[in-house]
Amino acid sequence: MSSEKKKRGGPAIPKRLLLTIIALVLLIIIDVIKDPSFLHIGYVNGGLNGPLIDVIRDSAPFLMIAVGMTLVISTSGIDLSVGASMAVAGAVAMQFMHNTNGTGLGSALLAIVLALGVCALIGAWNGLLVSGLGLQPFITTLIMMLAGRGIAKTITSGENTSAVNSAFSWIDTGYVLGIPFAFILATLIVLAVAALMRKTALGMMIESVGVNPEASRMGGLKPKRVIFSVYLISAILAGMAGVFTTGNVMRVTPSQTGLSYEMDAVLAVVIGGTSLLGGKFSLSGAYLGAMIISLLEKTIVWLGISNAATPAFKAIIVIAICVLQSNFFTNALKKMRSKKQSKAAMTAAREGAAA
Amino acid sequence: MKKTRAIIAGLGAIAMSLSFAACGSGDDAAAADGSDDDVTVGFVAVGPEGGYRTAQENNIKDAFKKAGITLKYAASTGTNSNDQKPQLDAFASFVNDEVDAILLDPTEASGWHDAMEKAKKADIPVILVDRKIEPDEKDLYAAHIGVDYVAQGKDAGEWAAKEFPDGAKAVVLEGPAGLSVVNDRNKGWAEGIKGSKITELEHQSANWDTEEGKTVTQGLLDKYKNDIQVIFAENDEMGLGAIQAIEAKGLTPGKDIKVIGADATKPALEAVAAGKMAFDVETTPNFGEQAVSLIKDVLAGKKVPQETNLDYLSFDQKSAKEALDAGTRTY
Repeated sequence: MSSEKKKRGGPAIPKRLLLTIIALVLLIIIDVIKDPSFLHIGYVNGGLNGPLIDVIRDSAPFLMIAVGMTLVISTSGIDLSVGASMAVAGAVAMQFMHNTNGTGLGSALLAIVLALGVCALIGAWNGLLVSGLGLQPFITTLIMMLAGRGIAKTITSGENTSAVNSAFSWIDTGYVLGIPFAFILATLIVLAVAALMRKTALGMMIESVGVNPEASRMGGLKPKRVIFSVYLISAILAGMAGVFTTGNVMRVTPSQTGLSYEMDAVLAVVIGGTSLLGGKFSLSGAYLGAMIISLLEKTIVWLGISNAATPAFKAIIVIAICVLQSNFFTNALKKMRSKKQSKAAMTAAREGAAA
Repeated sequence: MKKTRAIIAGLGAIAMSLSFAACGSGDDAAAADGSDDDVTVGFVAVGPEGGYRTAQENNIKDAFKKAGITLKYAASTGTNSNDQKPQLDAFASFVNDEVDAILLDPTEASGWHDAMEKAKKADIPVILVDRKIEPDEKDLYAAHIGVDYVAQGKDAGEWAAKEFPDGAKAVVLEGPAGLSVVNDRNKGWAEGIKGSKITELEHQSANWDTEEGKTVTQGLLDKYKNDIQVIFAENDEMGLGAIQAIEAKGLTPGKDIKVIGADATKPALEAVAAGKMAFDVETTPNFGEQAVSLIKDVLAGKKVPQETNLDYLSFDQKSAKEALDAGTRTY
């Protein structure tokens, strides 16, 4: 990456990120070809409105879990419990406001604090088991993925709970200067996490633990603490994702809220260019990855992909993006370019010789 | 892992047999009173799953109590209500206890062959409640009581056709692909709008979920530039989401776009009463009476129909208000 920067001397956009942006644009182009009104932006109820606006608003929960998952994956772990954590957070928030009939700003904030607090406990539990007892992250969080749904169902006694609170609902459906507040807040949270990673040494510690925990321990780091913290952060961010999704409709469905979102999070991370083997991570990649997932959901409806074909369609797009980003493809491009160049050089030389 | 699972299963079995032992002693006391003629029915139930299931199982329990038949209730307990093992265990112990008949609401459609074969050998008739078994071996059970999902879809379609005699554009929000409920309601809807001027634009899945119901509907409204007049949501959760999507696009649900729901849960009935949802077809929880009469007939040696479809209601604004005022809807 750094060598590339030097060679080109241009702006510091890594090639992988550039390809992700290209994939994003290609998806939008597909939608526009189907119907150009995909780009239409109107104005309704004091905010901008249109397919693209919906995409950035609906990206909020994906942004949260994608960033959390990126950090976990770069320690070469995985957090399969993010979807269930979303359901727990939603259940806590909705049940709290439902039981207390809290309609004010105060109870909205309290509901969020409670929801994030419970998710922090889930994250701490995952983190302790993985870092302290050295259990496999896959198993640990898989168990939490199953248990989390049970917890969410227990909180709402198996019901789908709804609540009325305009402040809480505004978090996901409100606008600031016409732009969806959910998108603004989610972006700010991502920036805050990025600052925490890059301004402090935490980011580097995570990467170093991901590459080799033993070596980083000998190098004076405390891998256990680092690993604990990524699970904690991931669960809290998943809690925020749950606040966004349930805030959208002010209703939690413990069996459905956040269902299979852990897969979307992993996809966003992979699309964003963080290796599943751990090590270097890219938050800007995860950001774009989450955008692609959100755009993909929209595209499925826009193109009218049938219910049964949806998983296959999703898979094809994701594979296509991965191939586009793969070394094989970039190398092939390079070869083609260098062949063209050498051909051109040769013909030029021949012409020169002929002259 | 395996070991702990085995231990947990063992403990579960012990706990279950203990609870049955407790039930058994209760029955003896009842028999000593001479208050019933010694008919005992085992009910292999789903257990806590949500308001609808609770209402349904309470309805069954109450009906049996009224009829003076002892009902032994065994739910598939635990955090995951779709776990089949407790149900299989309960079923086996009912067969061992030689109950007179078994009511079964299977959480899982497949995997029942061996257990039901044993019941058949022991001459214990099985009556399926709500969900069916797969493969559908009709010689293994005496009767099935269920909700006619095709008829529900048809009612929804016919209502839309009647509401818009001059034609309208409709979309359908459906559940996860492949479920029999989804197929049945789709089939019924297609029959209902057949020959009418309703144009069906497309089906799209929102996975039974309110939030997805909202995001998918927003997408559809953008796609068709708000030119949709009817949305058939194949469950109420998605319907409630669709209503919010319509409002978010600055339109009025009930006026600009009419949403049809299915199941008639309490929040949906409230939406119907408020004029936001236009129409709702019920999935009735009232299985009890039918189950009692079927079991009586089966035990008396009478021939019973293999399939019984329950009567159900449908609600518009007026009848929804009445139902809510009556306060009978608990879920």
